[in-house]
Amino acid sequence: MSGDTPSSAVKKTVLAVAALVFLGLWTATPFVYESQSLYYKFGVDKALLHWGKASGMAVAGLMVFQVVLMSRFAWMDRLLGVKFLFRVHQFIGIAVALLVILHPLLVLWADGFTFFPLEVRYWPEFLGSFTLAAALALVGASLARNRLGIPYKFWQVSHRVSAPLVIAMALIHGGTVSGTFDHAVPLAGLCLLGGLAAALIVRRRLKR
Amino acid sequence: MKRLFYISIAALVLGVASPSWAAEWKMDPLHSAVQFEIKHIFSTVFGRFSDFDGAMVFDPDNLEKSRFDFTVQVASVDTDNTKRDNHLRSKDFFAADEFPAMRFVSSAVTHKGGDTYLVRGTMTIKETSTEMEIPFVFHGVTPSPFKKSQMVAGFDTEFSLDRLAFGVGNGKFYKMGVVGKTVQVRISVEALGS
Repeated sequence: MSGDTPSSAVKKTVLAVAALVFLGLWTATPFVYESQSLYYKFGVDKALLHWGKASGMAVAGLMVFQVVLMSRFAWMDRLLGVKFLFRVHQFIGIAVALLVILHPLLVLWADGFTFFPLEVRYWPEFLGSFTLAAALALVGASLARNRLGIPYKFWQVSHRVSAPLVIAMALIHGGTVSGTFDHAVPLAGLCLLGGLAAALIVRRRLKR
Repeated sequence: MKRLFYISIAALVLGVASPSWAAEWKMDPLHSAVQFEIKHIFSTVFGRFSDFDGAMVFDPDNLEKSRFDFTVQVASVDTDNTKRDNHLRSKDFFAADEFPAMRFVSSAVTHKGGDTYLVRGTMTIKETSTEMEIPFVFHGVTPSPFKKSQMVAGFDTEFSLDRLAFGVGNGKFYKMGVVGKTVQVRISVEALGS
């Protein structure tokens, strides 16, 4: 933060704290608004399921945060610098990739790795599996674009098209698979996040 | 002449009285059901198993040769709640990965009266095998209304069993007063023979 004016340092701090508080509260939602499936878990299994749900919440929150970062608000670009924003965007992308693997691992572990059967009624879980694969492909393609020989323009267009789809799938998966969203407050939060992401994406599209 | 007449009549009556169907029956899964119900705090949770099969040899006039062999695939449990069903498949209850099927194999069938019979046999759920006596109703045999050459037999049974005796659950939910231990089972079978 050297070279910052006192007011810009304060603003950066406030932004960072606000982001961490929001993400922290959002991630902690399953601990406060428990789903009924948690009632039937005890000890280690309960902790696994709690943290599995929390990691899923973190994925969703960070995905929407990615949209905020890449919205190119002039005041944000000025305050934080475009390079910094892109670095944070990349860092969070890696964090999302790790969390998106951790989430189903912990959730399935809580049930002794009892996999759901191939039945249509498990579509929210299948949607989650597809979202996992899509998110990993999105991050993987970005990180290894040069190694994979993906032309920049093609990667840029496909990244901008697929990222909103992955976010939408993640939010729909979360909203339909978890009993946490049977509670009004988390459901309202989910809808707000989805609405915010959609509004920012549309705004960005219209500005180009 | 008279003797020949009476012998013919007797043969005709005996021919009508004896069954014109074979005693071997194959379960028709499309028109059979395996259902269960169990207490949850105050309410009753209803469920079914959608994947099952059975072979029956049943002749009410020859019960010594009658036998039932019935298998239910545990993973097909359906209580209309995907989370609960997956929990039931887990090691907390059925451990479906390790014990994929429940099986009942009969050892004897006796007639209780009317259309009610009693089948004695071994019920195996998870790693526990227990002798059980299960009453059932035999509704009879009729040619299929759709295909006269196809014989159809009907069976119905209702019985209860203690899930904890078979290790389906470790008793924690029962002690908490959440899930009962007595499971009411209802099986309705239409079986096809030749």
